[in-house]
Amino acid sequence: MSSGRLKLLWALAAVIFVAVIVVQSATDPQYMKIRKAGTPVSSVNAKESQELMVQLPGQFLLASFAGFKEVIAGALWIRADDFFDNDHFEAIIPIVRLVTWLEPHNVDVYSTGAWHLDYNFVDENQMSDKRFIPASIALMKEGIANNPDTWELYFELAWTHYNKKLNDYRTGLKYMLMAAQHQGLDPNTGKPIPRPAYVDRMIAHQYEKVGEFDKAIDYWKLARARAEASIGKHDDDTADDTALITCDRNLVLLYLRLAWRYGNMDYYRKGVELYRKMAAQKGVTPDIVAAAKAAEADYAKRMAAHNPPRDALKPIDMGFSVKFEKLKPRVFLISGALNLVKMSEYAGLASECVTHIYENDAKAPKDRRQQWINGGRVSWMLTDLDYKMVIPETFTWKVDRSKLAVWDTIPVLDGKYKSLPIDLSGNDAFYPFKAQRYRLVVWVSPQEPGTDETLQDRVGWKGEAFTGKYLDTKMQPGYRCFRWETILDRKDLL
Amino acid sequence: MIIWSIAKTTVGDAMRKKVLQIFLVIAMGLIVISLSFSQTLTFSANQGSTMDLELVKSFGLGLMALAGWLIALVMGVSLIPQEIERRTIYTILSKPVKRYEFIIGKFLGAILTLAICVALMGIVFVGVVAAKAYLAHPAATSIQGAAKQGLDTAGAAAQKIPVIDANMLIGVVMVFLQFFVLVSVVMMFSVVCTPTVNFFLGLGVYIVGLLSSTSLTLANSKDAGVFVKVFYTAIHWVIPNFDKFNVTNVLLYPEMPVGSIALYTLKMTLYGLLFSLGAMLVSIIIFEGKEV
Repeated sequence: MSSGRLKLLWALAAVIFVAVIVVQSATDPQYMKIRKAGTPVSSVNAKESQELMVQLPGQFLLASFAGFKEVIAGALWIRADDFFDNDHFEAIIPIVRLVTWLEPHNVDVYSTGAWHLDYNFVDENQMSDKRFIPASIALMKEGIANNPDTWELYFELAWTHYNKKLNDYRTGLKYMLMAAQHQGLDPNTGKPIPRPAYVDRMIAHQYEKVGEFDKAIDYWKLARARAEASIGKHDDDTADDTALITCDRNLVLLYLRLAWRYGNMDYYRKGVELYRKMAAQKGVTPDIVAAAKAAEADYAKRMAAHNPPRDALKPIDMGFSVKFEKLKPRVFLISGALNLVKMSEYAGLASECVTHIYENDAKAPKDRRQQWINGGRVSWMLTDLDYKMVIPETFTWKVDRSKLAVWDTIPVLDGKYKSLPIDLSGNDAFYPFKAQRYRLVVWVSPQEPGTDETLQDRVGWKGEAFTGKYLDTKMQPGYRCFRWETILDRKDLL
Repeated sequence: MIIWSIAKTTVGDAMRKKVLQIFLVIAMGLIVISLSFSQTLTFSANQGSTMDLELVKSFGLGLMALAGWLIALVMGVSLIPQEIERRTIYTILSKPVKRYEFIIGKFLGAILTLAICVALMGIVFVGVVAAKAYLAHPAATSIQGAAKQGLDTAGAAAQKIPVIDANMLIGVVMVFLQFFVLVSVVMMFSVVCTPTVNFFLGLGVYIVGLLSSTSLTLANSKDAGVFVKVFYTAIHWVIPNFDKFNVTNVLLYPEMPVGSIALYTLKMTLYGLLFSLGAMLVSIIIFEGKEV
């Protein structure tokens, strides 16, 4: 090749090099965005990060830097499954940490990791270790920080943690409302897809739970409107019709219960009108038709007699008592009485026109009649005297097990409750009892998730009918609860 | 025509290499096996749906990248030195074949070989992903099916899993482009280096190229001194930015707000083509002056 041609080639190479730099510079901003998006937000602090580096086997570490981190995340997740199958639960948490570090946008890993922390660390009595709940909440919050545009983790945090684990319905409502501000994301395209209708329905339930009934009514209407708007937009409309019926039925029962429990006849009228509309629809079940007729008749009768029902406002002495026994060192029993609620209390209740609880029981043979409506629960919590649940700002799996924090609920049966032996003796590491003093609280809340709606028909959403010893109106402002507390010394427990 | 003949011969030679065949077969086998990896998973909040599918996708893309990397290095380092060692280059150059034609033919052959390998793996991978999507939730691939499973209608759309995921095709293209650039680089080195030296040189360039986000950050750092800035700017410009082809995370989680990934792929295609063209030109220039 002639030197002239070689020079030309060099010149061409130089031009191409400049073009490479131009194209490369054009890709740099988006490339940095891609790298930033793949980096977890507030995931690991410096110390924990160093420990992770030590724990990550060398070949994994190299591969994660060599551009195969998604493969590593997948391999680690399969390893987590092995650990789960072999009951090596402790080993799973660092893997959750690593996988969320490598793949901060994998929503399932956050929710599965939080579920694992919530439920799988159990003592000999299969009672989950509540000391992991703060870690679980911190993991969920980190998941939300990394995936703020999809509803799932807000919903998980609201439902699993604040509603089921901590019974903090206000905070649950806050996160549920946040969930309702976001749609889902199509895993293949990343485009928004509608969030499930049950998210909106749960908000209505939440408002009911916290006693904001007008907002609950608004949300039932909103959930219904949303379900109605989606009819015809999808290939299949059956589930939309079901969603409409679900919203209508819940709204009717909310109207009726507001009337039955607190005597608001305007709500009664609205409930009856909506019930009538439901009963007139095609394909509706006979029980709805019958209930609609019965409610309408009861409403008419009460309007004529100017006799609004106020069933939850009639006080009942609940006769709440608590007995704490040490069966042997670290093994306890909690028992007592709670008049929740006698069958005789249901005679003449307005709700009877639809529920027929008392009426059906009275028709039963004498030996099969029930004296009590069961379905209530008593809660208890035993902690170090100075225990305070603190949610860490960043997720860490290091849980302080030197502290004691254990709680559960006991079902109320026939006016009494009695726990199974609460055995905290099996494993010193699990329950070390290092503190000198402990607090035992036993309480009854009308908000307790296990409380049957028919019980609330008599005692109210907020425990309006509750009276008697240990009544507490401060524990949950606006609510009437029962609360019994004692301070125990270490020697009382060991 | 001469270039095409050399390219065809190169493809034939390369595809006959046992080591390359083994890489290819193992990679394809592992991609198929990855279909079963998640079948036994019990520790998952969302079994049989997106979680399982993501696992198969990430494994598949990762395995393709691993195999592509090995194929590019093993094939690229030996293409020209092999001709010199076997002395076949004398026979070729004694015919009316120009040196640049030989280099272009070799480049073309290497790229075609890589394209065939990635295409084969890509077909298996896309098939496996489609099978997984279909098998994972056969009923949920339609809204009617989701409704039959008792899912909310509004949520049914969320459960709808398309069988073909266009992002995975982009993933396959990106794997090809990444190793297309690597093949060009190692072939450029192979004009002057022995295969062993070239292997480690190629490996080194690849690792530095994977750290392109670091080199870019250091080049733009306000706190860094002038020397550091100039050094890392040069590194960032000269060494191919292999990490830029690594977009698996974005493809798996397309909800990430990173702009149009299709446009980014187009830019990276242009980048890959230009870089390879540059590497080929330099190879031609060096080979023109080389004594063989």
